[in-house]
Formats: sequence, C-alpha cells, structure tokens
Amino acid sequence: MEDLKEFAQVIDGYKLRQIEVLTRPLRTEVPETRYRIMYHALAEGQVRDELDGAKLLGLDVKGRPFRRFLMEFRRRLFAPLLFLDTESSPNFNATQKANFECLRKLATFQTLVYRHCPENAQILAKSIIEVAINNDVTLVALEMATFLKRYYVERVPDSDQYLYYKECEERLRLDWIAENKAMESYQAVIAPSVKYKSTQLQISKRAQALLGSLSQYKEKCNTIIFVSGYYATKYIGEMSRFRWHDAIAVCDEAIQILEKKACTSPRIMAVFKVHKVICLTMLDRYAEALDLNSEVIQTEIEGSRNWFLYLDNQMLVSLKASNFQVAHEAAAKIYTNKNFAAMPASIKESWTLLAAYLILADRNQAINPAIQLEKVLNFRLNKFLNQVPNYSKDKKGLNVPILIAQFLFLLQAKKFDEAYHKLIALRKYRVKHFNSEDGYYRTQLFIRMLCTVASSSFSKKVFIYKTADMIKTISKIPKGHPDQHFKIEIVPYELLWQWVLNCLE
Amino acid sequence: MEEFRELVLLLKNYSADQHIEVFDSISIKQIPFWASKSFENGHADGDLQVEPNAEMNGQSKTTSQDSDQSRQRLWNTLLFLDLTKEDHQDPQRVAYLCWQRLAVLKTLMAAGAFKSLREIAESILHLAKTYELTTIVIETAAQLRQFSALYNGNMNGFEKYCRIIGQYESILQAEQAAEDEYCAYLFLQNQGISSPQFLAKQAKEACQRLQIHAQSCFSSAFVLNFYFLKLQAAFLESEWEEVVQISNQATQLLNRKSISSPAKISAFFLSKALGWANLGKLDQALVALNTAIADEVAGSSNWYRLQEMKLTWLLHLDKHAEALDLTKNLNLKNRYPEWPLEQKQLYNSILLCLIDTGELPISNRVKGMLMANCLPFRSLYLPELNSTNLDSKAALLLVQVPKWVQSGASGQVANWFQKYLSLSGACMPHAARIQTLITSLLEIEMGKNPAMVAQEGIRHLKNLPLDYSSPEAAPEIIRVEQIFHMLIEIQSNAVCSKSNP
Repeated sequence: MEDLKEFAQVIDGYKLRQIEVLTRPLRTEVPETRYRIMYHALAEGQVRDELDGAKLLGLDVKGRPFRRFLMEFRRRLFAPLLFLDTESSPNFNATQKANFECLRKLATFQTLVYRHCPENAQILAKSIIEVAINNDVTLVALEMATFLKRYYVERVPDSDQYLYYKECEERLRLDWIAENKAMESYQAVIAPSVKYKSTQLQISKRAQALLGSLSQYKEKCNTIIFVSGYYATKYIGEMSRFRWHDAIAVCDEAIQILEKKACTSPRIMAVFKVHKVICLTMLDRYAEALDLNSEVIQTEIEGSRNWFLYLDNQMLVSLKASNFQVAHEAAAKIYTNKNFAAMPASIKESWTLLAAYLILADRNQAINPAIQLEKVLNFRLNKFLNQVPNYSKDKKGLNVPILIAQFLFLLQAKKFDEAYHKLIALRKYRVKHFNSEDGYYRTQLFIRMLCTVASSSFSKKVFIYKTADMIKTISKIPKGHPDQHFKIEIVPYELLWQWVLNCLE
Repeated sequence: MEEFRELVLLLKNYSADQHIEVFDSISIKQIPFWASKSFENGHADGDLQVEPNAEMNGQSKTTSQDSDQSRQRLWNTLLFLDLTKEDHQDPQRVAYLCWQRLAVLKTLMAAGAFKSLREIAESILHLAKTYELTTIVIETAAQLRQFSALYNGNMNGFEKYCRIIGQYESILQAEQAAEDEYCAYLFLQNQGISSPQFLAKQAKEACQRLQIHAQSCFSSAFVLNFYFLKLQAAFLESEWEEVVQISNQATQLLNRKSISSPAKISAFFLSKALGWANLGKLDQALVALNTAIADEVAGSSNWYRLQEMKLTWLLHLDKHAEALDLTKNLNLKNRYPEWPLEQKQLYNSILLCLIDTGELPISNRVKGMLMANCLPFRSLYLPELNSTNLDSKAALLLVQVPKWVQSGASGQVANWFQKYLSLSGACMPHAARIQTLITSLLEIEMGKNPAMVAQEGIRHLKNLPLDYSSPEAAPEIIRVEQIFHMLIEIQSNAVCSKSNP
C-alpha cells in the first residue's frame, strides 16, 4: 500500500489525460494529435523530408512552430523507444533482451528515485539487480546497489542488507571503471584506422602501452565489456604488427573466456571471430576464413552496422580468395539493403573500392554475364576516378589500392595518358612513403611492376619480359607475410598482373 | 527527417505498441486505490485498502499478480508523464529526464540506430554537466566517445570526450568517497552502541579524509554529504555556533548553484535554525526556519514537520496569535497529503488548552474549528502509558498541568510523568527538565505553595536550557517554564480573588 501511496503524489487525473502513446494505431472517429499523425506518416513512408513534414502539418518548414514541433516530437518518441519488442524478435539473444529490459528499468528506477517514490524504487531495484549482475549490465547493477545500500542504512536500517549491497557496490564500481578503461583503450587503437590504414606502427605501440595499464584490472574484472575491450586492444596490437598467428591466439583466448560466461552474447563473440577471419585470410586459409565469416554474419541483425561490416569482410575475403561469385553475392546484399544509405561515408567509400575491384574482376573474368554489375553496385566510374575523399589522403594505406584500381580502369579504357599519370603517382608513393624497412614488400614490388608498363610503352610483350622475374618473386612471398595491412592488397597481385596483361596488346 | 524516420522505423520494426501498457485516466480506476472518491478529488485516500478487499472475494492470489501487473503498469506510466512540460524546470525533473534519455541512448546504440544518436547524446551531456549529474556525464561522454571512434574515426571528438570523462571521473571519485563516509557514519549511528563522543570523532575523521577532495570538488552531491558530516560532529558536541557557521557555508555553496535542489538546501537552513535556537536566539532561528519551509514542497511530510516546529517555536516565544494563524492555515490545507491527523489534533488541542486558560482570546468560530480538530482531552484524565505516541500524550498533559494542580491531583500527574520518563527514553536534557517538573509537582502535592515551587522550578530550569537539536523527541510544545508561569499566575489570581471576594 505504501508504494501505491507514493504514486498518488506523482500521478493525477490531469497528468493521465495528457498521456499519449504515439505508436498506437490511428483512430478514425477521433481527432488525433499532430504528433501521432506525424508518427504514422513517417512509419508509412509518406514523409521523406522536412518539407513533406511541414506540409503535412500545414506549417512553414523554416518557421519556429515547425522547429518546436520537431523538438517535442522527438521527446515523445523517447518513452516508446524503451519498450522495443525484443522478446518476439529473432534478432536479439537472451543477453541483449536482458540488456534492453535493464535499461528500461533503469529509466523507470531513476524516475521513481527523483520523483520521491523510494519504496517503489526499492521494489524495482531488488527485482532487477540480479538480472543486471547476471548479464553484466554493470551500470544498472551499480545504480541499484548504490541505492539499496543507502536505503538500508538511511531509510530502513538493516545491517546485513547494508553490508551486502556495500560489497556489491564496491565490486561493481571497479567493474564499471575497468570497463570504461578497456573500451577507451579499444577505441583509442581502433579510431585511427577507421579512416586511415597507414598508422600501424603507432597503433601497435599504443596498444602495448594501453594493455600495460589495463593489466591491473585483468585479474579483478571479468565482465563481457571488459574482456571484449581488453582482448580487442590486444588483437589490434598483434594485427598492427602483422602477427597473424598471435592475433588468432588472442581471439581464441577471448572466445574461450566469453564462452564460459553464461551471459555471453554471440554478437560479442562475433567481433573476435571476424578478426580471426582476417588473420586466417592473411595466412591464405581462405576456406576456413569464409566459413567462419558466414557464421558470424548469421549472428547479426540484418541491416545493422555490424551486419554491413561483416559483409564487407566477406567481400574482401572472397576477393582475396579470387572467389568472385561469393564476393558478388555479398556486394549485392550490401547494396540492396534498405539501410545502405544510412551508413557512414567512410564505410561506403571502402565498399566503393571493393566494388571497383569486383567490377574489374567481372570485366576480366565475367562473374555472371546475366547481371549488369555496375548497375547493381551503383558504380560510377568517373566518380571513382575523381572522388575518393577520405582514402585518397591515406597515403601509405588505402590510396595504394585506389590508384591501382584507377590505373587498371584507365588502362582497360585505353586512356594511356591518364593511366600514365596514375603510374607517376604510384611511383612517387613508392619512393616517398615506402622504404625497405617499412615492409609492404609485395606492394612495393607490384608498384615497380606496374611502372614498367609505361617503360614498356604499353606493350604486352615487353611488359611480360620486364616483369617475369618480379612476378616470380611476388609469387614466392606469402600474401600476409609479414608486413602489410590486410586491406592493401585486395585482389592478389599475381591476378592483377594477369588483368594488366589482358589490357595490353 | 532522416533521424526521425530511423527512430520511427525502429519502433515500427520492433512493434513497441503491444508492450506499452500504461494507465490513462479511465483505466487507472481498475485499481481500487485510485477508484476511491478522494483520489478523484485530487488526493489519495490512505484508508482504502487494495488487498483486504480482494481477499474478501477469495481472490488473494490473483490480487497479488494483479498488484504486480498494476505496479508494473504504473511504473511504465511514469515514463509517459509530463511530456508537455519544459525540460529545465527543476533539478529533480532534469535528473530523471536525463536518466530516461541515457537509457534511450544506450538502447539506440544497442539497436544500431545511429542517426539521431549524436544529437540526443549532446543534449543529455549538456544538461547533465549543467546539473552536475556526474555518472550521466561520464556514461554519455563514453557513448559519444565510442561514436566518434568507431562510427567516423573522429580522433578530435574521441580525445575531447576522453578529456571530459577524465575530468568527471575525479569528481565522481570525490562524490563516491563522500557518499561512502556518509553511509559508514549512518551505519555506526544505527548500531546504537556508539557514544555521541565516539560518533563525533568518527564524523570529524571522515571530514578529514574528505578534506583532500573538498578543495577541488564543489558538486552538490559532494557538498551535501561532506557538510552533513561536519554538521553531525558539531551537533554531537553541541557546538551551536559552529553549526550555524557550517550551515551558512553549505547554504552559500549550494545557493551559488542555480541547479541546487531547494529541498536539499532546506536541510541546511534547518540546521542553522536549530543552531540559532540552541543559542537561545529563537527569532533568528525562526527566520532560518521560514527559509527552510519555503524551500520544501508545500504539503510534503517534511513541510508539515517544519511547520509543526515553527508552531512550537512561536508558542515558545509566546507568539500565540501567530501560532493560531498558522494552525488555522494548516487546518485548512486541503491538499494531499493532509496534515497528519495525530499531529493536527495535538496542536489544535494545545491551542484550545491555551484558550481555556485564558492565554488566547479568540472568536467562537475559530474555537469551533479548533474543537473540530482536537483530541478528546478537556475532561481531566491520564492517558494510557502502554501505547505509542507517548511524547504527544506528554505534550498535551503538560499543558494541562495547571488544571491538575488546581484540582489537587498534582501527585498523579507527577507519577504519570515519572513513568513516562522511564518508558519514553527521552534524551537527557529533556528528561532533566521533566524531572524538575515532577519534583515541583510532588512538592505541591506535599502542600508547598505552588507559586513558590514554580518560581524555584524556573530558577532551576535556567541551568537546564531546552535542547532544540532533537525537536521531535521533545514533549515541550509549551515549555515547562511557561507552565510554571501559568501556575504562578493562577496562584496570584486566586490570592486576588480571595482578597476581593
């Protein structure tokens, strides 16, 4: 009864009359609010932009009333967002469902606390703290433990309960800090390589330093987030030093630890598996890599950011394995998904590059003559030749495969002058950005091979003669050995050499 | 509109509608508690019980399930309330809105909806920084840091949010240390085995440990706990000037922030009032108390508690007319929750007592109102000692002492108070003053002149000032000195009437 009395101070008839659940279906016989009208118009795709929205409400798109409406409309969407139906959706596993539930309860709990309903807050905290602890939802568990500790020393003194929650709180505080540090470390090493792939040495040094500072938490904290952050930092460190076997070992260790946890999410494990895929690829173990990557894709929600990234991986591995049919299937899934447009520009640019190689493959080896690949992949050659805004700045990174692809397209089109300019750029890169201590040996050698195209006066015969030794040398060097970023050599250089030959007469 | 469409499609794809079970003004009446007429009038009726009604229908098990479902639905309803209000209204509202939005933010992150994420997160971060919601600042900044790092590889953004997190981590550390010290102190206090000296020492040591943070952390959460501990030490050592000084420092620090919760500042104004009262400066104490009352939510239990304190102090200052006005106002306060019945009856009865003794001339209408709200006390009887509310009973009996003396039964009252002292566990300063009254009553019983005894009592009480530090435990709504004065006055009136028949 005491908890109901608390509500009586918060809820009254007037406030209840104001309640509006936007997601309920529109009723024809009742005049609906404009928020509900807007919600349903957006859901039905009737409103595509602000102009449509303003028109729907009869407002000026630039006027203050419409701006104010949008602000309030957003506010009204927040509460329903806490009630997403994760139960009947196949996209969410038990841990994720628990996570969503905990977040909703956290919102309710804090509302109860700050609306002075301590008895309700106590009931809720006790009902959710175990779920939160068992599923490693540390923030929620920590907030509940902190409240309950105070409740049992301040409001309803109970020594045993107080001491129990005090101990919980101390443990959870440490977990929370450790998780934050682990995620910061992971983000610190991953962020520089989102746009540029040429920062490997710095990343490896940074990863080592960060792992040193994380080691103080390693024995004490075992939450999913900490384990993920810690081992992700570790494998990035190994991968940035091109130690593919060591990176696989790190991923396996992480997967092993996560598998032992009851609340492990397959989606978290997918992060490690997908990096294992890359390492396997670099070790020429394509079949294993593709199998594992297919498994990983299944764990993700179709259309989610990770789903796109895993397909991107599938495309890359298939191109490296010269399995262009699989690459084509992955590309088709990416480009036809309705969420494609919403992906960040940097990721789209990576797809454009992969798509360019896939089209080159199609032009050289005819993947599927029935399909107009350029149309499916929305590939515009002129745009690719002139605008690759992010990666063109990645001098020692992705700009190399870009220049190579651009050269091949131009060569194919017999635009020798323009192709020659690309070669000059590549040669400058080789001289300026690569030296013998830098590694990238396969890439350096291939650029040298390409440059001979010009000195061979674009003659096939002379080109073969001049590059015969080099192509033999390249073939002897394993692709991932030991020294180049996995995204530099998208299609094996041996095959690219063949494609160059195809273009020459 | 892209970000709106993303949110709407998320809701549509995971059809939230079926899971949103909330109450509206009609469906809430399914709960008997809300079906009560008094709730419709604007406040809930505490007499109406949910479960016993259901048990009568043989549905106790169902009721328990229903009750859980109703509670769950009420909790859900809370998330949909007050959407038309402005965000920046009061710190409490900002706090729960920020928590709600942080939960939304993390939900969006987990569901992979990124388009509106940044805008929502930035607005939460701004509010949380302004209102010193440290955990929310760190959590939101961590989400933005992740977004910057993974979504678009924005190193500047990543480093910016790392800096914010680092800065707020040290604030959180200070706040947690203060919270821990506060709870540890309360834990010791709850054990009931520690002496006031020991507790004061513990509070002081806790303050010393926190001093290192006090130089750099001025967040409300820290200031509240730190100054609470400081106050405790001063209270326990009866250093009233220090109490006033510490309260002043705390209120100054908190008042500087536009975002401080008035209810929290109110606690320090109350300490200040108690400090002044114990220094014998009730007028200044009343000024501080009025500020404390103004900062409380009108109608809350704390508000009534402070109003009762004010009433008592007005009576101690012999400002009977003002006390009567305040009582009238409190009686008329027709909003939920009403003035707790027991306290309401006590104060109405005491004022009626004062009217009976001629201390307070009032109209019949006001007298009628007091009588409608008073206890059945007007015939002389000694309340039972085996029940609760002993302090209230003692307070009321205390006002009636002159009548008992007049009726020649002072010995009975003395016995009652003696038993009261042994049962109530009244703390020392209060007990000593009541003991003085008992001694005087026994002397009157033995035939001594009441006026002479009363004057002796007043002299004795000068060495035993009233302790205002634990006002709830004090039965002296009318001070014992005032009772003695009444006895002297009655005696002198009796002498006058004898000499002028």
